[in-house]
Amino acid sequence: MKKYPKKYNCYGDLPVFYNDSTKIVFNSNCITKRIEMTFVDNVLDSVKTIISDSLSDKLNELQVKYFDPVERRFLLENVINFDTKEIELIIIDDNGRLLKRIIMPEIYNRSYRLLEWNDIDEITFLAPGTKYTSASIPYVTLDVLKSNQEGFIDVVYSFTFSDSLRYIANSNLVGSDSDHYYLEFKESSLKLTNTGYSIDRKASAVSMMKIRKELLLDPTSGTNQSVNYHVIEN
Amino acid sequence: MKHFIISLLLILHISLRAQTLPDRPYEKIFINDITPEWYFVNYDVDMDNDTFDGYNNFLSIESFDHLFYNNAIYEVFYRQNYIEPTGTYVQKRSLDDGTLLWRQYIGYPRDKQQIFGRNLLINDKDQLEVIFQVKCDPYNVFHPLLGRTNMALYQIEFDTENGNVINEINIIVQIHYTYNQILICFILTMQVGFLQYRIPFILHKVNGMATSGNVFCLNWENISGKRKF
Repeated sequence: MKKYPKKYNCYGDLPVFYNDSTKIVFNSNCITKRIEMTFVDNVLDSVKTIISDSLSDKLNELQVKYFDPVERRFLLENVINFDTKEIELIIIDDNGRLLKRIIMPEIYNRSYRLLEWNDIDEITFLAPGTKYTSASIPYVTLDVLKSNQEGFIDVVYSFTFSDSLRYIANSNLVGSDSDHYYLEFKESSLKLTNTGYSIDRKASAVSMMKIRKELLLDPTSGTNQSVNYHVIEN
Repeated sequence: MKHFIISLLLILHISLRAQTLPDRPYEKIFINDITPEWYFVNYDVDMDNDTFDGYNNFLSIESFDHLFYNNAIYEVFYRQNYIEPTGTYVQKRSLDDGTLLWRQYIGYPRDKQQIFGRNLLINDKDQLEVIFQVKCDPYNVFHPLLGRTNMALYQIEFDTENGNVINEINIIVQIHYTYNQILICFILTMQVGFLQYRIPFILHKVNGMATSGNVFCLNWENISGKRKF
């Protein structure tokens, strides 16, 4: 059994299964601000180890969120401020080279989900965001976000809900084909109490939608036509 | 005295959580400017009662993916009961129209223990194989699931056509690892007469977040086929 050192480990030596034959164990080091990627074989023996570039001034809590087996790159999430939960996204290739850093606005924290990242200067995310009317009434929108070349996030479109008390608390892209996304949603509700609006924690449901890609990627294209729309409850 | 206070707090917590109906009955959500081609909501009529509404008992799992195969999606969700999940829904949906083709529930009260799906694949016999973690002790509302709760591994093979259970295999009896650990194992298969035994060797354990445990068996594909996306 192969033992891995756990010195100054920011998160954990979480394995990432790259494809059928390559497996990588990540080990982050909060002191050097680098991560170590150990490529292992089927019995976890080390094949080679790569030390990344210095990734961030504040490497606190690192998680591997997405990997792209075609382009051989990883999207990591780093908490840069524990109090505000502010995070940055770090993209590296499998040689440990830092490709991009993106600051995620605090409003989204960890609720963002990746939709497209063909171009690392223009990564598309989907995330629910809580906002407030001028009368301080909270409402939630489902936002399509794009990263820009400077490493910041632009909001492309904010989808609202027909009932302002009902909202999507979390989304998850579970699959896609050439024209569609299959998105799983955690639905939730706000309720009005004596002290104002709060989340109705007992109101939750898990749903899935098949949505044409252009409705999210290009919402102003006017192609929002129902093909075979129906709602199923089971 | 300490046990008395803990029991008292637990009873209070359970009684507070026992009423879990939402303020408003569930209604479908409509996103302005998005018309989905289909939209389904998970609902379990058996959990539509005084304490749950049949919707809020579903818990999605982020630590592993659903499985797409032959124009269908195989999904795994946990069922929550008062303060913690008690079992696992395994289900198949058509990708064409979202229709639920079958659903099975594994866990308490069907079984004595709480059982949690941890990974799934389609094997070379076109069956759905799911690896579960089983709590070693029977379900007891006063012994809640903790990160360090001892678990065992368990595997069920389902008929992909109708969801019938084809085979249930205890692939390990008592190796002490815990609910929140991510396991990397290697399965040794032994045939003794007509009986087949599967003994996993735990190669690596990682402490995960409270509910993000998972099981990766490195040669699982070699034994049983491949995950097919």
